[in-house]
Parts: sequence; structure tokens; C-alpha cells
Amino acid sequence: MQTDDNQTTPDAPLLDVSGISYRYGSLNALTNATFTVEPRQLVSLVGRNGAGKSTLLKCIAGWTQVTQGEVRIHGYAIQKNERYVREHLILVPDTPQFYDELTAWEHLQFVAQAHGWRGWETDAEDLLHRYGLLSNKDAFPFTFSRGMRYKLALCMALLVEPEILLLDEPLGPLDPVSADELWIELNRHRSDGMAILFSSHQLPQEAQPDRYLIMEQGEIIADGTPDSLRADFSLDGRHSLDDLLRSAIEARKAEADHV
Amino acid sequence: MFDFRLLLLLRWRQFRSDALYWLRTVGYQPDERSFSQRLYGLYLALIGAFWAGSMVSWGAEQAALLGASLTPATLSDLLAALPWLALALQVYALASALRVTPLRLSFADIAYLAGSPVDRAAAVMFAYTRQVVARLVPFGALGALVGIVLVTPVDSGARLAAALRGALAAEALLVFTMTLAWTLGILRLIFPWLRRHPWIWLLPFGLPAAAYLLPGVLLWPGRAAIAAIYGEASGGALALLVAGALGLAALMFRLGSQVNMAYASDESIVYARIKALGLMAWRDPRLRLRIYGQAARAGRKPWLHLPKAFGLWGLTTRAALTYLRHPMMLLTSLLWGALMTYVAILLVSEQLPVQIWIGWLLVAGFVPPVGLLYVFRTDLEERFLRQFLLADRLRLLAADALLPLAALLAGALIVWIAQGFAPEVAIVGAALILLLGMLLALSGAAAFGNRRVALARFLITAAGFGVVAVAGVNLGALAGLVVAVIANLLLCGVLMEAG
Repeated sequence: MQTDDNQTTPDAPLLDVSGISYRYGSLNALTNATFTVEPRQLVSLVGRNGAGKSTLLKCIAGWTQVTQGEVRIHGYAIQKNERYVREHLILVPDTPQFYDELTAWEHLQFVAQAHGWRGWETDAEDLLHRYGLLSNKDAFPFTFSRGMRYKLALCMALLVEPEILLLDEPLGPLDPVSADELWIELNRHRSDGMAILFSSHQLPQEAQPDRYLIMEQGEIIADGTPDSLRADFSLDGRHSLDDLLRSAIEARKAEADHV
Repeated sequence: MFDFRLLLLLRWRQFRSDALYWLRTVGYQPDERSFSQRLYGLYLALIGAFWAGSMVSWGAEQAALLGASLTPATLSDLLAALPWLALALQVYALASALRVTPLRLSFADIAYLAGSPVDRAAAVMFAYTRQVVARLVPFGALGALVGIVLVTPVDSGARLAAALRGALAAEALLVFTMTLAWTLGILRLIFPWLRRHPWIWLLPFGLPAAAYLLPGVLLWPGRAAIAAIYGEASGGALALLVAGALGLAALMFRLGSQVNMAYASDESIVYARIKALGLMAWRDPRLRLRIYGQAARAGRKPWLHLPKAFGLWGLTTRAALTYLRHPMMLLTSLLWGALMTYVAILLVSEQLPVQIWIGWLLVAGFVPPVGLLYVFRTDLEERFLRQFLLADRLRLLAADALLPLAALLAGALIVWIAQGFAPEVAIVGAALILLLGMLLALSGAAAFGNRRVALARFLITAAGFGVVAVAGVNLGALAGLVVAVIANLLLCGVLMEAG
């Protein structure tokens, strides 16, 4: 493991979140969140509204200054290596913003050119086609619906192919066809080595993340594979994500009452 | 009538809530019914009355001075021009009402007023009355000042009467013009075929040409107002204007119930978005600019294309495309540079007092051209977009601000060179303009990392410009240039450090 801010060792986890907390005035929005994510992992962050999922993602991306703890990518602390983070990690927030003066296509062009890539056009066209935006490629994103804006943001992020992709509520604004498409796309990128951490209330039927992180009131109350969590909460394979979430919250409540 | 009362209650509550907000900003707590708060309220009222009285007195004095300085020939030109000015204002009012609905609705109005069975005539008449009443005071004051200016060269003893007649004449003209504009605007909300002609709002611009052919008909309202100011009209002309307004208002009331609120809602979106910003719309003009810009571009095909360019050059061409699609920003930068240079030259050549210099510095620090850092600020503040930009802040600034800075410097240098100074003075001045322009951009860019951007921007700009001025005045022009270079380098370092 690495000890210095500017050095890393090969065994450093891709994403290492260690004991991060975030206070919002007198409210603890995030308390002592600790976990790691390795390449080729698809991790689902679940929890009720206000559980702290978006705050956690923003802290990891360095958009919000943590009150305590540290986030490292390849062993590099993100607060001191902002540019390194930009090269390896992309967060797509639930309401992404765009340039008012550039069209959808020009956003993709700009992103590709800013990274110095050539021959990006086929990939960009393919992405827009898959998400049903190709016919709107010459329109300004501020004229798009919320779902279309999210899809464009996804296309920009996927075009860049970061090592770590963070998605805040990706399935909320998407139609079912695009949600399935996204799931296929995420699995493909996972196979290519990308680590994906996303928050969501609902998942497509066939979706099987590698891990769930369950959050409640700013804390990670459960972390494990779907099977291990079902075993922990005495659930069988027929039980859904909702059941898993409810069981985790009830278990947490019982534990708190007991204390 | 019940609907009118309902709307009156709703608007009164909204007005009261806004008024209380502003009172709170000056320390008055309306919820506290203590003696000290009442005393403070009285104190605020007296201060307000004193301020208003002082302004009225100062305005009247300035108008009298201006009037006294008019030669007979100038006065004659002014009298000939005023009816045309009145016509220009009427054209503006008519074009505005024909372009976008005069009945403008906020998002709450769209949801709860347009979507309710409230009598449309009540909604129309209430909005019309509110808009007219809100403009009566400023237009009345303006009319009073014009009255003083016009009557002073002829009979300085009749100023008060002329001011009163001027106020009445301006208000009568305002009521007539706004009622006519509202009636035409409301017709668009009733007859869909009128909305199918998007260029209908250009029709009023034909009025000046028509006035050239038929001046007696179209310039009559302005001429009647001037006659009223001199007491030459019996009052019948103004009464005719008001009677015309009342007749139109009655027609509007009758037609109002047929207004299609879906049209009004559709055309109110820009207004509603700005209204939803609340005070932010006043605090941050960029937001309003953004909404207007989006509305202007929404229905158009984009012109020009993002060229194929990579790395830093890619950033520069993207910023250039943004500004070329927003040419007004480049123009304002150019004009800002020209105006500030002109004023600075005036300050030095006329040896004006230091207070004026401070005013100049306040403008430079607090009101720099909005376009100068428009792209840079967007790049920095929109975190989702910032992720895709691998350049550090300094390189980002260089790419993003190149074009508006060039426009600003071009404006400044044109004014500077036009002065015809000796070559050595012209060269040193041009170099100083270049360095101060860069300092202005760097100061703004360095301030964006702070929580209080406006204050930080002012302090950094004032400090930078201040040390350059002190060095220049005390040690000579060369020392000023050296200090400007050092200040620029320091700020470059700050930006590079910021990442």
C-alpha cells in the first residue's frame, strides 16, 4: 500500500475510500464511509432518499470537500491530485450541465478533441445511435428533456472511457429501452476493465451487480455480494432489491434499538 | 368582480412579502412589534423621504440648469425632436406587446391561474392595471423634468406649473400608449391567425415612415404633450388621449374573457424562468443573460461549426465558437475597453480628484465586461464539464479568455492610439494597456476560487491596479510596467497552483 501522496504501489486498490465523513451544517450527511472498488467491479449504491448516496459520489469525485477521511485512486489522494482524478474518474450527476452554445454533437467532439483523440466520430455516432440521440445531434442540449440530457452526459462519459465511472441515479431519467441499453453497455465496459459505482433505486430485471453498498442516514450499513447479503438477512433468491434494502434498514434499526 | 378581488389579494400578499424581504435587508424586523423596531421603522421612513426629497430637488435643479443652458436654436431642435422620441417609445411599446404577450405569467401563475377557471378578463385587466400604475411614477417624474427643461429658457418663473403639466402629459401619453399596446397584444392571444405571423411585431417600425408622410396624425400625441407643458392646450388634447385609453381599456375588458391562457403561458416561459430566479436574477446578470441566450438560440440552427483542433488549441477554438455565437459579449468587451480607456485619459489629462479615480477602479473591479470570463467561469463552475478538461486553470484561462480579451484590448488601443500622443508615450501606454488588460482577466480568474467571488475580484483587481498606479506615479512609467509584469506573473502562479 502506498504511504506518500505522490507515490503508489501496484497493489493499491483502484478506488480506496477510507473513513470519509461530510457534515452539512449540523447534519452528518456522511459518516465514516469505508470501502474499496477494484477494476471490473460493478457496485450498486442503494438507499432511501436522503441516505447520502449523491453526497458520497460527490466526495469520491472531489466535487465536495470531505470533513474527514480520504479518497485515493491508485493510491493518489484526490484532494492533492485533482488533475490525476480528472484523467481517471468521471461522475455523471443526476442533473448534468452543458454548454449553452454547443450542440450535442459538438459536446462529444469537444470532449474527444480535448483529450487529443482522432477517429472518435464512429464511436460518438454509435453511442448517440444506441441512446436514440442521433437525430438530435445538431440540437442544443438545453432544449432536451431530462432523460435526453442524462443520455448525452452518459455518451460523453462513455466516450472518454474512464477507469472509474460514477453514475448518480442513472436509471431514474431513462426510458426502459435505454435503461436496458445502459446495462448492456456497463457490462461491456466492466468486461473491458472499467470499475463502475452507481446509485439507484431500481434495477432492470436481469441486472446483477457484483456488490451492493447499502446506505442509511449517511452510513454504509451493509456491503457485500448479492448472495452474501441475502444470506446475512436470511433472504432467498426470489427476494428483490427492495426486500434487501428493507431488511438491511430493519436490521440496522433493531441494532440501534438494542444499543 | 370576485375574481378581481381574489387576484388583488394574491398580488398584495406577493408585494407584501417582497417588501418585507427588502426591509429585512436593511435591518428592519417586521415580526418584532417592539418599540425599538417601530422607532427604527420610522427612522427608515424618514431617511427614505429625505432621500426621495433630495433626489427630486437635485433632479429639478439639474433640469433647470440644463434648460438655462439651451440656446433658442437648441430648444427649437429639441421641440422638433421630442414628438419623434415619443413616437419611438410608442413603437417600442407596440412592438414589444406584439412580439411577446403583455400578459406575462410566472410558473405559479401558469399552474394555478392559467389552469384555474378564474375569469380571464379579470386576469388581463389586473395585470394591465398593475403594469400601468407601476410606470406612472417614473414616467411622471420624467415628464416633470422635461417640463422644467422646456419652460426654463422661456419663463423660468413657471417651472412648478410646467413640471406638474409635464408629469400629467407624460402620464396621459403613457396610459394611452400602454393601453393601445395591451389591446393589440391581447388580440394575439384571442385570434390564433395573428400568432401565425411571427413578423407582425415589426409592423410598428413602419410608423416613423408613416409619420414622415402624415406628421399631423402620428406625431400628434407628442405635440399635444408639449403644448400642454407650455399651457397652450386647453386640456382637451390630453383628455382626448385619456378618453382614447379608456375606450381601448373597455374594449380590452370585453375581449379579455376570450383570451387563450395556453398562448399566454407558452409565451411567458422566458419571463417565468427569470421570475423563478427571484433575487438571483438581479444579483447575477449572467443567469438572465443565459436564459435570454437559450431562448434566442432554441429555435435556430447553429451557425458555424466546431473546427477540428486538439489540446489547448481545441479549447481555444471552442471558446471562440462560443463567443462568435454570442457576439454581443465581444462587442461589450470592446466597448468596455474603449470607454474605460477614454475615461482614464480624461482623468489624467483633466487631473480630476482621487474620488473619481476610486470610482473608475470600482467599475474595473466590480463591473468588468460580463463576457471576459464567461467561458472560463462556466468551465470552472460546472463540475461535470470540468472533468473533461485536462488543462490547468492558467491554460484554461489562456484558451477561454483569448478572444474577449483581444476585443477589450482592441477597443482600448483604438481609443489610445486615436489620441495622437507622441510615439514614445503611445508605446508605453499601449504596453500598459496590454498588461492591465491581462491583469484584469487574471484577477477575475483568481477570484473564482473564493467563496465571495465579487469581493475577492474587486480586492485583487484594486490591489493589482493600485500597485501599478502607485509605482507609475511615484517612480515613472517604466517602474509601472515592471510592477504590472510582476503582478501578472504572481497571479499566473496563483492560477497554476490552483490546478
